[in-house]
Amino acid sequence: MEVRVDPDRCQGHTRCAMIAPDLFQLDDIDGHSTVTIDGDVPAGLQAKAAEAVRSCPEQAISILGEPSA
Amino acid sequence: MSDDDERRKNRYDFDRHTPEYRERFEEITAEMLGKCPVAWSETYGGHWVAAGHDEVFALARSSEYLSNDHDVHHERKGYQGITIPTPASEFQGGFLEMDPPGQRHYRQALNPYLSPAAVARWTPVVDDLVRACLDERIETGAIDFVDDLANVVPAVLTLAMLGVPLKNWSLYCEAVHASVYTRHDSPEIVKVRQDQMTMFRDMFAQLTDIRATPRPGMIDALARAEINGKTPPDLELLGVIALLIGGGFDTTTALTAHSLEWLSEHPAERARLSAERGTLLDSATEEFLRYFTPAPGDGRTISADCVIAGQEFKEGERLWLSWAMSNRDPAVFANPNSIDLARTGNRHHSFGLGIHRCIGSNVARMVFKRMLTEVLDRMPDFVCDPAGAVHYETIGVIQGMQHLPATFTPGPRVGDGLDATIARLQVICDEQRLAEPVTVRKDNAKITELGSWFGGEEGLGASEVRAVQHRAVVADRADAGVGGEQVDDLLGLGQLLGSGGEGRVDDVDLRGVDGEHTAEAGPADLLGSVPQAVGVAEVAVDGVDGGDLGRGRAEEAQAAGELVGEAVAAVGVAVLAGADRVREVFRAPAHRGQPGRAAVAADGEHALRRLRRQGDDAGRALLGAGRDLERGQVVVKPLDVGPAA
Repeated sequence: MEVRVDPDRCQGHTRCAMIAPDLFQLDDIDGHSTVTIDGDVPAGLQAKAAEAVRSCPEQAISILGEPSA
Repeated sequence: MSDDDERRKNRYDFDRHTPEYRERFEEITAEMLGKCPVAWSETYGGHWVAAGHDEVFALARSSEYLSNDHDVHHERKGYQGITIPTPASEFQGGFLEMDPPGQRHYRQALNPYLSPAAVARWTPVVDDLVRACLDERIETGAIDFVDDLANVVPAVLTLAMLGVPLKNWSLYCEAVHASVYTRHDSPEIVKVRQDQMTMFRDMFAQLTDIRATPRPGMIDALARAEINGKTPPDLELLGVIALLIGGGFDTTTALTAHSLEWLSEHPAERARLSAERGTLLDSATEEFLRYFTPAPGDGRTISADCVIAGQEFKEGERLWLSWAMSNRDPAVFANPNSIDLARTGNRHHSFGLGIHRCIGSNVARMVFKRMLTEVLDRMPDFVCDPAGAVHYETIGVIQGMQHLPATFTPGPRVGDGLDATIARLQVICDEQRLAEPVTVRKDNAKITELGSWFGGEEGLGASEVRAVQHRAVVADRADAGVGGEQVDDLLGLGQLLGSGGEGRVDDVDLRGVDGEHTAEAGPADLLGSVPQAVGVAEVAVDGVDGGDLGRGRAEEAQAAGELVGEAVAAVGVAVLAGADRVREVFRAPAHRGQPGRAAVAADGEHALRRLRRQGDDAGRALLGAGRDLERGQVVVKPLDVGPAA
């Protein structure tokens, strides 16, 4: 599975980076989030990716594809 | 039935400014969420109220149909900003009462001061402030968490970030809080308005001063900002400064006070949070934010006819977005009226949504977490007094608290008081230009720097050095001599000792620093076993190899026992640092194959008081401390601390 942050929806709440600092990095200047991993999210981070999706107040994060085994 | 009546058929008589709304909040919220997640209320000239989570989400993010504009000069459409009802004084509340692009220009100017990276730089300053606030009360066993802590730290930090002299904090603090909690029809309001005028005069003076003689901070950014291609008028800038102050002060105070009150009422949850803070602190913070929602909502004006969340709105209608009620929507939050410190999927609205997301959210979280954890560490058994707790009578503007007295088991001070700390931090702010934006200054504040540590108008001051900092330093510097660039603490001590004159540094010379100090036996385990041991003297002890002291007095010290040489440094530095009692535990370095040790210096208060009177001469006081140690006037007890397994 892949995880994406919609830059037009992100408002810099920083919740994703709090939950999964290995998956999301925050811009130094405005705190808006980008995904650090290109392509498949490692199995060990998939649950955190899902929690980031559920916790984003702007609903700016989405998951593409199915979790891998 | 008219068109308006049809559109407004979901009705609720909503008045969030009454005491009843506070008392019946859960009941009213459940009723609105169940029956009318968007309702028309006739109160305050008539306005919409959005309570449902989905509805608030959809509305708040529709900035193309919603305006925050407060058109105080009647130059546009006459919209009335974010407060319902509109306050009598026609004053624009900064960029929160603006629409893009001007609103965006302001945020772009201020983001580099308030981003997560920018805010993290201030953590050592906040820690020192919190430490000082707690030190003011720690020996008495009684504190008012609002007056003595939660009002103070956010206020001082906000001024520091603005570039306003820290000592002005009290002038701002009470003016802001009292203006929120004082009823507008009470006799006290006259004094409150006077205090507010004093504050505004100072704000204006700061703006003028900074414009003439720039110094870093958000006011400097505002003074230089181009908004919509031009320099904004002063009154508009004052509105922005007032917004930053209003946003920075009362909200974090409210969150902290309510959270501490709840933790006092739920001691098992408090113990769990303290023990599992590594995993629980973030989720608990978000849950407190959700549950208490310090800023309960925002007003808007509909700027174009639209249908959002199934409701038809007309241009010019007023709308209240209730973050507080949407945060209790059972469709999103299981058991919405209970606090679950480990709650997941907590997409609360407490910092608002969309382009107006609270610009200070990163400050609020950081300051809250630092205050909370230091209270948990130093006053772990605190009990709030329900009879003395004063909640704001109404929660229409801020769900806040005026007082929250508590008692706890007294403990020792670990540093200087609030005034001395603020004076010292001012020097640090100035010297390190802490209030620069993150684009200019990336490094964290350094509280341990020599110039600030023992400098400034207060002279000898700090007694706190973060254990983590010098632990890493010592572990990293095998065979390094005195003055290695990377070792601010040790360098500081070396210079301090050297300043006493020739020959006086022998017994605590740092040249024997041993690279074998085991990282795992560091202050972490020491702090774990002795919570109060945050003494500055750790610097000395970590940096001194008791088995490899120099000549002269050190040899005597060695003969008297290896620990003495270290303890000389420990006690001496603690004296210089102003420790009232040398009850800190000082860790001795762990040598090859040996367990770490620590010395507890106790029962020496009289001797130490006398020593401190000579404290203006660092070397002399240190020598004196050593003599007293050797004469047994300061009792030093060896204590096994043992390296962590």
